[in-house]
Amino acid sequence: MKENPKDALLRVDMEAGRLIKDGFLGEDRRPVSDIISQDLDTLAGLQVSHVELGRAMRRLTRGGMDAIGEEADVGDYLVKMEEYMGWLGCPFKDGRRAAKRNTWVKDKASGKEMRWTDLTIHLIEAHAFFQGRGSAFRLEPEALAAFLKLPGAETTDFE
Amino acid sequence: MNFMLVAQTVVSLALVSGALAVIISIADKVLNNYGECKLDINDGQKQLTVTGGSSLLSTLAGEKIFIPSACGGKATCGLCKVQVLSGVGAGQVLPTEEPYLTEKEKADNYRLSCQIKVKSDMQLRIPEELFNIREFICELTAMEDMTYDIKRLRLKLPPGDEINFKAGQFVQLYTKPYGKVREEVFRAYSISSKASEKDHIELLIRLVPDGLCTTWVHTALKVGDQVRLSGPYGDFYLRGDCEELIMVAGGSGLAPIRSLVYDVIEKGLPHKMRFFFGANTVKDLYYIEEFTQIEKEHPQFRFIPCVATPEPEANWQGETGFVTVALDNQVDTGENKEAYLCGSPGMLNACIKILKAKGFTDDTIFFDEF
Repeated sequence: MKENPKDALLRVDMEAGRLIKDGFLGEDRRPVSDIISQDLDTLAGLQVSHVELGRAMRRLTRGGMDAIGEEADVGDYLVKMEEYMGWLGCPFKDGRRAAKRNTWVKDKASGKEMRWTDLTIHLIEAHAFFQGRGSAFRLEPEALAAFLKLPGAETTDFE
Repeated sequence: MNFMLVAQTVVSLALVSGALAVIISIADKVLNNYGECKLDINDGQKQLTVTGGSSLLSTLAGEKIFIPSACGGKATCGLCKVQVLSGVGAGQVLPTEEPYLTEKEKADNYRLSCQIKVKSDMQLRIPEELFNIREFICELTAMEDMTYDIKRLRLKLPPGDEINFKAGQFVQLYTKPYGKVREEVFRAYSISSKASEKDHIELLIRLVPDGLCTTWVHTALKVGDQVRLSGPYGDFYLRGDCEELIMVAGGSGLAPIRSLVYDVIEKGLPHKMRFFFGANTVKDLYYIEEFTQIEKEHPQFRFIPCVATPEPEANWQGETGFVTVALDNQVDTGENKEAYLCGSPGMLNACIKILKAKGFTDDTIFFDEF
């Protein structure tokens, strides 16, 4: 599909070596707006919103923040975090920045694991951007929703 | 036959792509050609003629005027503020700048220089002390592993040259293109060596997963390489209007604290110092012997390494738990004290919360936010 000028500018900032070493797009050549709209279609089928997913991710990350470096018991999950100095800017240039923080989450019952960064959470929650296929930090919407037991699961508010 | 068709298609596509690239390149040159622009700095104190089209930050750097920036021009540190009094960019704050500018700064025409493109003549106001910031081409004379993910770099200045910095300040380190990274990037790193040693500096650089600059340092940089840096920058340095200095660091945040500790000792200053150094595990600790030795030789200095989760086999005998817990337990009030912090945003926030509850104020807590 043809790439509009806004997408073309976004693509430049999302390429490898611009904001982060490996970029946000992986091998995905689709325009950014197509990546977003196709993932939104998937979410519509699941009846869950990107905002709900982002909030659930943020709750888990916050749940692990009091125990940085250690494994924290957060409801159905075990959460481990690693923090680095500095900040990352949002490629959508919305004035938001995210701490350089990685969160590893393990579902206690299934043993399944997922990893995300603070910037990943913001990109999903604010922009419905799950990153391109092949990106090291892409989270498949369907897999993420299942992992977070959304929709329908009661979520504990850890804030 | 099919092969011929495929080959013809590939060649055609290559030609079309090539033509498009040429058209885009020409269009870029024509549309983004702002020609020569005049920059008037501080009411005529400096007048520069530059080629328009680049960010104000990089344009000024090209003229050897180095505006502080920790993030490499990505609008995440907010350090590169300058006053734009007239010209394109005056009074037009972008969403990317909003979080870093107060209402007063906006009213006073401050902008982030990384977010403005030089497109016309401009009148600027830049703090005079920034004119003293210099560029250095150094030789990497030593690089050693301090932990599994932190390296110490020793960078020697050219013969006869020297750098004058205040302990705690930082430099900007410029990378060279490597791997998928096709452009030079720069990041801020605090100087860990003594301010009295002017012919070289040392940096402590922790590998950040997917980090642009740290990956270059950890994977591409070799002893003997030439390294470009500029500095010194920053207002994280000793104020000393107190009796005791409370210092807290985690990971590579130890760097400016090491420089500060040596500065106090070398200058014979009377301040007591307590240095809380936080690590997740024992293998994250480093410089332990050195600080322990300083503690033995200088009664004014106390070193408190804290390990959150010591490995059982490490037989750790020191403080166990988060550095914030030790800070909370061992510092009673903020009276006659200043706090110097360097670490991750989470650690900084937690420490600031604890310190403020003890009576420290914004005027007695100092930290670099990068």
